[in-house]
Amino acid sequence: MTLPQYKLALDLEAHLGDPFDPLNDCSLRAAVAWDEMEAYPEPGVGALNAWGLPRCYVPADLGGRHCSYEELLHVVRAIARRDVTLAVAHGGTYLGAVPVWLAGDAGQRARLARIILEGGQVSLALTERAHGADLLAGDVRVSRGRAGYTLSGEKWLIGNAGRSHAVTVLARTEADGGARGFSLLLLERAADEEGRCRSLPRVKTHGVRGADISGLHFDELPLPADSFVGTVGGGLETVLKALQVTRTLCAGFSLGAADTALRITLDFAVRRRLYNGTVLDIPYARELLRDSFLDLLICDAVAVCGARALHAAQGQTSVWSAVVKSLVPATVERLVGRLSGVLGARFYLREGHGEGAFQKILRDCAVVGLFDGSTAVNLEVIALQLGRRLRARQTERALAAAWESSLATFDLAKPLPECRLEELDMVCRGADPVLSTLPLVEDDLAAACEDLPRAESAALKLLLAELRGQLAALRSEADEARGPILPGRRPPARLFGLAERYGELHAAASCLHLWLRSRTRLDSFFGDGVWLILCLRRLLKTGVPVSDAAALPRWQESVDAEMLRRHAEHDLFSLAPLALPKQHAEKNSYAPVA
Amino acid sequence: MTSEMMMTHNETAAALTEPSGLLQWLVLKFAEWLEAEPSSLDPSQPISAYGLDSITAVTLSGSLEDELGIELETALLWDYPTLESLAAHLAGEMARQGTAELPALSAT
Repeated sequence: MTLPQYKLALDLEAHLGDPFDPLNDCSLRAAVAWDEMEAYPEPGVGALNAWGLPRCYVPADLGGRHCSYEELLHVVRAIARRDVTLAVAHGGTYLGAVPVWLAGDAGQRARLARIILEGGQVSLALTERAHGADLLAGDVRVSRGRAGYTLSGEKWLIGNAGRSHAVTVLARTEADGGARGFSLLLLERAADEEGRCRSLPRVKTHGVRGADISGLHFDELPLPADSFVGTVGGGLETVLKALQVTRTLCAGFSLGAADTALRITLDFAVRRRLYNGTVLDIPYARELLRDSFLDLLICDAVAVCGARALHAAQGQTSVWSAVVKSLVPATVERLVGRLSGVLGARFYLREGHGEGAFQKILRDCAVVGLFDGSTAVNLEVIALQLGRRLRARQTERALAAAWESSLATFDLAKPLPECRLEELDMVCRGADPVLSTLPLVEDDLAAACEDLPRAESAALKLLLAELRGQLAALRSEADEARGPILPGRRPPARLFGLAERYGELHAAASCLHLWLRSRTRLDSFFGDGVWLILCLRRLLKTGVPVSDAAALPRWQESVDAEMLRRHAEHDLFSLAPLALPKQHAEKNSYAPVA
Repeated sequence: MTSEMMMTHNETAAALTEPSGLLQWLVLKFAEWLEAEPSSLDPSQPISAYGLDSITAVTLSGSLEDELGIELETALLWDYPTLESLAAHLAGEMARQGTAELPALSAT
């Protein structure tokens, strides 16, 4: 029954063992201990390297392991549910590598593959202290001297800057800058014999305290001729495309964090006795737990479909990845905040229940909405394309292509085509495979509903009508909001709210498509569609009338029962109820933390 | 359609895909998008001089694609930053992709 795309993550899970077992390298106890020391999680990195994670970062033709972004997303989640810091610290290498896989020549790709396969780390150096997300304001520049090109300036808030073996750097190559005024460089730190590339002191952070986040200072660093990745002037384009991959995978950090937060909270809620019962018997606490589980399922659907789209809907991922990145981290931050209300005082303690990990998760998960383009930056990506994305009139050819992409993305049993990174595009063309295909699923929904009880069937049909109605309303609001392009100004504020709404409708449609195409691919909880009804009600913010008054409590009980079963039986809180390890790790390479 | 009418139609279309006809169309189109007076746009200046930032420029290449009904590179406005250079490039693309007509501009 287990689909092949879960096997890689399950293998890693078995290798790392139960995070609630304090004897494991990648236990919650270890994560909290390293966080307390603000120390880089070396044992965890060692455990991941021993398993072979670096091979997953390298394309198969360069000696890596062939894996899809869907598989990689599940791997990232498996690490993050133990320690977001570890997942971020190790994953930084992939962030630095993607631009080179995308635009590098054969020699650069081979060099970088060798570094990564040997366990070396890579950093991506984009941002600067004075300019943040405004990449085209960057001051780090390439100059032509008598002896050749040199690099000068300072990049700031760079992951693994103090320990990376290679760095990909976005640098100004035209004095006037502009979209074609920046180029990407691949630097090997070992080649810097004169010490002209200097790491800055580590920055103290709110969360992910063990991560090595600092900056890099370049002082006329000589650049070998083979430093330029892709064409001179092509830096911004490469970065904007590579970010589509990493923004999507970032969702794995949030999914893992949310899974453990929910697990720790349920550990408390089922055992804690008060007012002659348990926390679970308190209706409000139960509702907060259920809402968190439902939000996690929504985020899972959005992230998994976004990762599949990198293969099955190429050309659509500039907006798709921005939806994943603006919706998932923010939803998980709210989710963990909500759970802290259930956990009460224990959420505030750095020891005791759940190894004191909850407060760490609360701090750690807040970083995901910041890097690789913040929530606001991603909402702007959506806002700028909103009008074209929502356009009602589509050619038949565009609709047919969107429909094909939709079928390939949402059927979990369909093998994914290869992702051709060079075909990623900075804007979306044609019709939206998620939202413009909604009119085409009416018949499929009617057919699927024949297998369902009357109340469920009626609810789903009403919810699809509601979704289509809200989409039409968003379309006309977006039309009204679309003013002139105001020179030198960012999009109007209200477009951001509409972009957020677009993300929620995208999430609702993703859940629906995923259920329609994959309802027989997973377990009966997924197939019976009750989760879908409750998730759609949340996303559409509507109490769509339920024909049978007894149905809503029955649905809620059914979702609660599944959440509690997953907790009791150690299954992942995701659409695919993967069985998690309950045992000691296969092999611990380092001594456990006392 | 008579052969005489077809001739007239083709001649008009040919005139419009001349770089000069296209340039005129582009000036009017960008003036509409930027809500500027057409006479205030200098076709030999980079469009960024009027405050159009790089990312918005990328999305405009999509809008141009929609208007002209041809496939265009996303980074079009990065590589042809002035309306003059853009017109020259688009004339070639329209001829290559077999499109001869410019869409009407909406009344302003």
